[in-house]
Amino acid sequence: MNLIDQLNGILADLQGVWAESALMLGAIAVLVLGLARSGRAIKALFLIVLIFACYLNLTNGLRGDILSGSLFLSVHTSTFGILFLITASFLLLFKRGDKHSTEFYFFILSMLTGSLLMMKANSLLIIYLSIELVSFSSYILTNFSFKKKGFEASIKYLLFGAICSAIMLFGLGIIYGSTSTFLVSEWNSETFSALLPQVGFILLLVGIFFKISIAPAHLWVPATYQEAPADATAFMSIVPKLAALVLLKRIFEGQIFTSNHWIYSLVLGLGILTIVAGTLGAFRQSNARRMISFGAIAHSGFLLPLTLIQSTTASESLWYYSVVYAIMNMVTFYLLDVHERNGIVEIDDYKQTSRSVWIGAIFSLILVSLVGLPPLAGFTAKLFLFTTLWEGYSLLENSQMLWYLIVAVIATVGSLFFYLRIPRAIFLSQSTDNQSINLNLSTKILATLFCIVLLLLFFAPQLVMEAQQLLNNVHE
Amino acid sequence: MSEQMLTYYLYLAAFLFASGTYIVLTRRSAIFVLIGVELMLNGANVVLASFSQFDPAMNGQIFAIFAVVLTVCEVSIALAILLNIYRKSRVSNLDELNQIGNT
Repeated sequence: MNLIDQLNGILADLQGVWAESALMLGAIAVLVLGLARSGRAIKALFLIVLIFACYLNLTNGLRGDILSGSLFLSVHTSTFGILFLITASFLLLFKRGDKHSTEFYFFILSMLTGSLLMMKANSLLIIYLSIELVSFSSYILTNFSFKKKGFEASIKYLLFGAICSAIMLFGLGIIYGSTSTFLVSEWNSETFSALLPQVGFILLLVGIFFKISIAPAHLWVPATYQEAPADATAFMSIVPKLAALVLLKRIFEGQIFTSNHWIYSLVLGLGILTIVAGTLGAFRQSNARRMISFGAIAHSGFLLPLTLIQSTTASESLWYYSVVYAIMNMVTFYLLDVHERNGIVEIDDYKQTSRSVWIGAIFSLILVSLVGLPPLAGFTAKLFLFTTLWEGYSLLENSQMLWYLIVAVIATVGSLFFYLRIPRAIFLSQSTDNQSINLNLSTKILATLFCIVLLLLFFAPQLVMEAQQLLNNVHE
Repeated sequence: MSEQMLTYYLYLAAFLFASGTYIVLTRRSAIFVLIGVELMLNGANVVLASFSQFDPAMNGQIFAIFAVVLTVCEVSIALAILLNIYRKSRVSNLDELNQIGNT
């Protein structure tokens, strides 16, 4: 192949990374505009960049390996990309002062770029670079409350993340040495039959599990989610986590290990541990945001097995669960933020809010959805998850799947008791000093709209699947 | 470079990684933990660079250079945060950073 052909090949493949390029340029544009303007202008530019990236992502029809195998595009990368961009646009609903808003949106855009690349990564170098891009932006965003506690959470997060990424880099070196390739798509079961590459693979998983917050790499979550600004937390708890899950799904799709391999058992065991750690941890919390963050850890444990089972059901339920999880987490952190602005931080503080019945009812419904009870979309997501686990058990004959299913059901029932502490504090407690909290109409309308969407997705779950088909085929 | 040499380089890498891990686990000062992380990362870089002798494209060495640059970024973010903490509370010992609970 001569140079001209190579160059033409690269130019044709560039279409697959146009969305990321637009986001990077947009991030720089936000910084430049921040020199002259602040507030509304920055927000407007942020929205324009997101819409443009959305358009580029939708019109991109490339699938498969691009750029000599360093990236891999699939149905998942394009549809999850749209989900992430829409999630990012909801950040504009949060109340954010003009202070440091330029830098805030710059780091959000960098994190978004990193997440989009992380999903598409096929080369180990891209995996490492994109995970670090996401991590660095998250470390900095954790500081954005500019309080001592925020700095403390941030340095803990950074040191934890640095250790995980060092372990991952060591693993990448071992994999490179024993398979002599950086491309995930060139891995096969033969090259991974020896112990050395398997150890390297486990070390690689440490880095990915750190992003998904699978136990024991979940220890940074409560402190970070508690101290970061609410909008940054909402974003961090959704986008990098789902991106890392899509990456993990792609790695396991290569069928490098059979379903009774010890690595499978280890990953499933860690998933069970995550659910248990998240659920048990949430019981002991008095701070509302910490409790929700332990719930988010448990949700990572619920999402994990969907990446291990190779079937259409698993892909569909991963997509459905991800969409519903994104909506639920976004609106939960939005409502937590609204309450925190009125000085309601601890769960017991919610006793004072019993006058604002409407917002209390909406908040309760959202939390019921996080538990996974009908008639809300959280129930359907859990139902799909349990169906997939049962299918995985009967297809793979792996008894660990059955244990996973049992633990997941018990944890769902258990989560009822901690999520519903907030509704109990709002409605069932007799508090003398009822202060009415300051909520404007737009907050109520927004929360209600989100709630209606969750109800709608319960009654018509096929909408989510049809949306995936539609988003995937728009470019034709 | 022979296979024999490769083994020595891997021993060196394992030694660097292990000593880095030891420092991370035992030291209490945030700066020392960062030094430990540096040693771990350098051990990983030695693995990448020494394996790349069998690779005509030398991808491993290029990867190691990327890793070095990213480490510099990571350390600069860490030092900026530590400076902020030190300004607020005159603390650089990780054990004294206990305002937020850990579990």
